Amino acid sequence: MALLEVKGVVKRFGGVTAVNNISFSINEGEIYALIGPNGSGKTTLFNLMTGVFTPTNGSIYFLNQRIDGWPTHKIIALGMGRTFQVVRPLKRMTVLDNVMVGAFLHTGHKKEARDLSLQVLKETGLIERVYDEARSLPIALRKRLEIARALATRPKLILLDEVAAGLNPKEVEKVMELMVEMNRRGITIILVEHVMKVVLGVATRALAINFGRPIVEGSPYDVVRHPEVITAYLGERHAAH
Amino acid sequence: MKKTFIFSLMLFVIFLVLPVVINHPYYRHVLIMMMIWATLGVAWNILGGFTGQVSFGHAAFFGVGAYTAGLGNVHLGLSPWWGMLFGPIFAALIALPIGALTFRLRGPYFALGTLALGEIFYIVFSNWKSFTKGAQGILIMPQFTDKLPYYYLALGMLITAIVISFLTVHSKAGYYMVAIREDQDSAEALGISTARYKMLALLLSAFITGMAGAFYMNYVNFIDPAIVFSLSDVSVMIILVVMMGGVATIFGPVVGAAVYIGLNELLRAQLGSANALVFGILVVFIILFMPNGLVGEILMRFRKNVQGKKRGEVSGTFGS
Repeated sequence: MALLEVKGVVKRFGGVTAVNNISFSINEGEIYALIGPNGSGKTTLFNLMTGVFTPTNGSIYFLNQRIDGWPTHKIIALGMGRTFQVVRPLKRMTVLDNVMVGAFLHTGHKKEARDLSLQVLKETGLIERVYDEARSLPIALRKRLEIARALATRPKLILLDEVAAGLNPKEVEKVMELMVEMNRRGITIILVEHVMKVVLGVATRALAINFGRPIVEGSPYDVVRHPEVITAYLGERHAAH
Repeated sequence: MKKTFIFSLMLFVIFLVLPVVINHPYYRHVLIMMMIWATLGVAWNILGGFTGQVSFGHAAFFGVGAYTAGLGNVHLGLSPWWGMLFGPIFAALIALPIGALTFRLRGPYFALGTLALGEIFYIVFSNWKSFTKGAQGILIMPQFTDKLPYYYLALGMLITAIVISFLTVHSKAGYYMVAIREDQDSAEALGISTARYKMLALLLSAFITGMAGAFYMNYVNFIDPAIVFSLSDVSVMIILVVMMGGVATIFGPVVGAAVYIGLNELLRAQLGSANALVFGILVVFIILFMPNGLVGEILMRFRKNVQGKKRGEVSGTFGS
């Protein structure tokens, strides 16, 4: 049984169709990559899955429950975690408090939340900065904080929105390690990513979309080399070769 | 945390014995007014400071609390002290629809929404003469001739407010409220029902504000809509008290109220109506040079000093 099933989802904003009849399903344990050029509808798809938007058409199932139309917090409570492409730390809270807010999802006890948060911060390599205010972190660590916060809600599925964008090669390596480690612990991952190194390095399956429509789904290696995907990214002239 | 406790205990003892030292009724009156405003500030701070929902309509809750005490006495012959129980309940009850309406709005629009609702209460209570006696106001018989019982009741009320605020802020709900203030969408994405926790903050805030309103009726014995539903003298003044003392700090409003009432009394005696001008200039200076308020500014200094030595002790989320 699939962990997440997206069935014929359509989202229109006025006259613009941002997502046009996309379907896919993800099994437990996968690392699924969504790729596509800017404006192709990847983040909109994330927002549909997490209840920020309601689909115009189609349905979304998560853990055998139909979740489209649910409020965001209810979907998160069911076991989905997400990060934001443009990081949104709780700026005037410390790193620890940021993560504790996530940890409070499954406990009302401050000590339990604190212990879980410290654990997560150790795993995500933020333990040195626990008492710093989130706004003092550099971008690479802010991206990590996004992941740490989402992990603290103990998700079964985590949606990572361009967590490698804007990082230097060494930082990208670290994020990839983190993804593999999360996955090894049983968290299914969907990632939106432009950094192909990440897609090819960690993903088990990939879906390419453009203009809100699916182009091709398959192994990351095949998807990245698919002529239509290259056209979508680089334009006609390059695709001819 | 431990320091906060010791500090609170010290403050409590000082306030407990203060009327023994200060026995002039006028100074006792000033102290009581300080405590009423401190209570209001603490209440506003739960919603405006910690949860980040800046309300310009708290006069609605204050007025409803006061009128509950007054009207219960006028229409039903109840002791106005019942208002201390029913006032907060009615204030919280009217907070439900107010929240349902205004929490659809964010930021400045929320502030404007609450401002409008506060004014609606003023207009309704001014014109619904058969029930509220309109601008004629409500006069009740004073229960005590001495200031001392009022002093200790006000102290009890302020302590109740501080305890409610402290327990809320240092619990899961407090973390959720601060998260909502910092970024509402992030908060949702961490599984927080933002609608529910904003409502919780509003209900607590309205409850305490209503309590202060009921006490005000009991203490002053006369209210009319222009006094208790006033935008400038209640709703905005609460915000100034909190800003002066320190937004999102537990004791900020207490310090803010002491300074505000103290200065107001001093300046009024010296300057007459020019006091409003001096006071206005002072507020501008505080906003410009001490944006964190008196307590907030001290906490910031303190935190900077501490961070080098033992950073584990201090968290940036909550002031104490």
